[in-house]
Amino acid sequence: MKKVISILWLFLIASLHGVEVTAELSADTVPAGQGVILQVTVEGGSPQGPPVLPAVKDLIVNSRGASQQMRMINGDVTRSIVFSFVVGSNQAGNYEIPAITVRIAGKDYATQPLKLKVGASPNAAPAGMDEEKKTETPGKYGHLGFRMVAKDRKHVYPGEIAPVKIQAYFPIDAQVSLRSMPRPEGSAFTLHNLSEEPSQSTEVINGQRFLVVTWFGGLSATKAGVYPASLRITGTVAVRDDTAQRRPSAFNDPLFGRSLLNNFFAPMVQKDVELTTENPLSIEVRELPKDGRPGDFTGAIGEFEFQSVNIPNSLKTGEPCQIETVVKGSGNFALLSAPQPLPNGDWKTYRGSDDFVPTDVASFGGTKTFRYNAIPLLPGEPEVALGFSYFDPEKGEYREIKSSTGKIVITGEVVKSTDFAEAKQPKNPQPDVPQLAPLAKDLGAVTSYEPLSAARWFTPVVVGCGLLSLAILGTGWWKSREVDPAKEVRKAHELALREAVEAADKAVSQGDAAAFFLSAKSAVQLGIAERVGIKPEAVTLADLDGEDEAIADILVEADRVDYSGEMASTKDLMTWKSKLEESLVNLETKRKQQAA
Amino acid sequence: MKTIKLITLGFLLLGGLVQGADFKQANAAYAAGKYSEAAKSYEEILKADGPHISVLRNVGSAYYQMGENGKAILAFERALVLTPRDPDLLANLKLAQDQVAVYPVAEGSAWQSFLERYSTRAWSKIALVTAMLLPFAALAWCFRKGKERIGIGMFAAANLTMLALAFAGLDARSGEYKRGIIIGKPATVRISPFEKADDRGTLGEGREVTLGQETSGYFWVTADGGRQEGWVAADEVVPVVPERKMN
Repeated sequence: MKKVISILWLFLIASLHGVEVTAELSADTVPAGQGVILQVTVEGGSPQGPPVLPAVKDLIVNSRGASQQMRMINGDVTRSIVFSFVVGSNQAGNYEIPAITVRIAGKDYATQPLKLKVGASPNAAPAGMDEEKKTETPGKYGHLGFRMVAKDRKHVYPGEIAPVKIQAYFPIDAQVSLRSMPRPEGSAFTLHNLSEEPSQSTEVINGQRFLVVTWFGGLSATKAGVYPASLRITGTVAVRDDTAQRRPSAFNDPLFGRSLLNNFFAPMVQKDVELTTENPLSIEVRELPKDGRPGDFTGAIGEFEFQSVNIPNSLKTGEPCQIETVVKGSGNFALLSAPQPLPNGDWKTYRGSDDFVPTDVASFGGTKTFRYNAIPLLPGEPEVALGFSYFDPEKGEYREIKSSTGKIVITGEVVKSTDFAEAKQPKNPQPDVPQLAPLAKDLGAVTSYEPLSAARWFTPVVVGCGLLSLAILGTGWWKSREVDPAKEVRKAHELALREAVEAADKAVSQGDAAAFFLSAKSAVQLGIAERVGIKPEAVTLADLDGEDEAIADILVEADRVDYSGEMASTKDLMTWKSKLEESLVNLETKRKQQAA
Repeated sequence: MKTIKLITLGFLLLGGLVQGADFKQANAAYAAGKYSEAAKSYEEILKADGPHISVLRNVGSAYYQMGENGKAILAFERALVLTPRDPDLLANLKLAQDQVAVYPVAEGSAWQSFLERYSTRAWSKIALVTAMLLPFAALAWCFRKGKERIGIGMFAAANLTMLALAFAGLDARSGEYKRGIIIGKPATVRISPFEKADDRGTLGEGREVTLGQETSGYFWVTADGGRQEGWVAADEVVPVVPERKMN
């Protein structure tokens, strides 16, 4: 209750202050199709209703509601009410918003007039844009476009393969998965040699950017008449669903109230779509004229010429020769037959082989190489040329093409064409389309999707094996650390030997023969004892069978010095020392050999 | 006990003969152009006997001929789970995918390709064998001395490498239990797992998706690397591995 009374007091105090009404635009300039915020602020009074904005031609105004603010500065309480509007226009130009009137306590208060400049839309189509594209704005999921490559061509002839350009337009942010290649609707046309890998590019149409997929191919008519060249393509297109999270539009205009973030967070909506050509081009299919049709016309329509001709220049009647010629140009090469030698009646020709090498992705232009056998029937030195005919669709007339002539020497007698059997007709080639692998004939074993790793025992077994291995290695290592008597004996022996040798060395340096021989005898005994496997002190001369003589000499001399007390010279001791070292090396070598 | 074993063996042999005959009949129906009949027979063999690579391959071919490309892709994918490098299966799968414009995701790194060359079963066998050889290597190490240990050490190192590879292979293939193939034409992706829920779009036949939990006859599916998610009816999407285990 106290709060309510306080608020009433505040309102009362506020009403005592002066009233002020102002209007402000968030920006003076705005592109067409976008809006700025217009705020009408009322301070120090309570308006009886929202301000009414005067109507301005082409100016769109939509209310965004009102908000209240209350400020207290040095005890002064100021209350303000802000009315917000979005103002904009789809038409570029300079606009003036007249004074806006607000009625407060029976009195009208007016704002200052405002000026707003509406510029061109940033998404507007650039000048000089293709008129055809301007008029055809793709739908939400795209559309299909089609045109003849030859400008101004609106007619074709049956059998002609007219090059066409097919373009599918999709929204730039769409994810597209095509299910089929473009196909003509109806039975009037067929598409040939459609490029397998269409090119991709982007285009701006009516201010929107689109992904454009382009195919080239050949359009062929099946019957005379005028037919719409309508194409169809199916696929899956995923686009962002702008309607899912967009706020209500300020102007009920799709351009307003749309933000980048709204678009970014909008979910993808995927649809199976079937795109068709809108306003398809009507194409007249004209019959091929009967007048002037050459006798050797085989249905070739386009534009062709000889690239090369190869005929042997020395022949004999009745004997076949190979003729090779290359024709280049553009059109329905499939119906172009091998050029025949002229004059016709002088030759018997056979069906040969041909190779076509396209020079464009749609296989419309290229070169066709013909190779076939021909038999000259008449002897002489005729000027021979090759010839063929085709229909020129641009000029609407038949044309007969003749290669350059060359003189050929033909020897032999006159022969009749009936003397030769007809050549075997080659089999029709099988269509070169991928086929399924042949059926499996053997049932084979039953398998399981369930791998061993999914079995309950798998992990314990694998882990168990790992642990067992570690346990074995650990045990082995532990065992290896235990005392090995043999090793200990070997160590003790090596130590004793080393001490004896050191003592002998010391005795030599002191000239003490008795000490030297005592140590030398001990060292030799140690060496022999380890190898023989007896105690060192038990080694006698009898155990030296097969040993070096130097060892026996050392032992004998040691006994002699011991018993006689004779002193050897220092020089002699050095000699005995060398003998001792040599003996010990030999003993060690023998020990290692024995151990191995 | 011996009698029971003999009877069991007899039944198994008899069952094998019966399935073999059915398989030949199904192949004959296929050869006669009765693809639907052949597909039905193959499916019955699979149901009764379990997965045979040959039957999966043939049923996929039968579905392909019927224009059921989603089911054909599913059958070929199932066979490839069992034998990932079979060139005939790979060629058939590509044919079926081309029919419905399903283009597989570009292959990963060479390492990933290597790991995916072998099936989960193959990797788990390698893991088991190498793990079981380890204790023997350890024993040999303990009982041998000197230079003999070099050979044993090399063997053990090779064994451990193979074991690590096998685990990497198993890890690389761990996702196959979540793979699903769309057989609906197309399948509707809904925001909730019930029929009247709003749809979020569609997924074309033959598309591969990642399966999540299954609720009320609907699978939670993710496609296009997470760009499309939602619920798809269980009769429109089928797990590649039938006996899949959900995490």
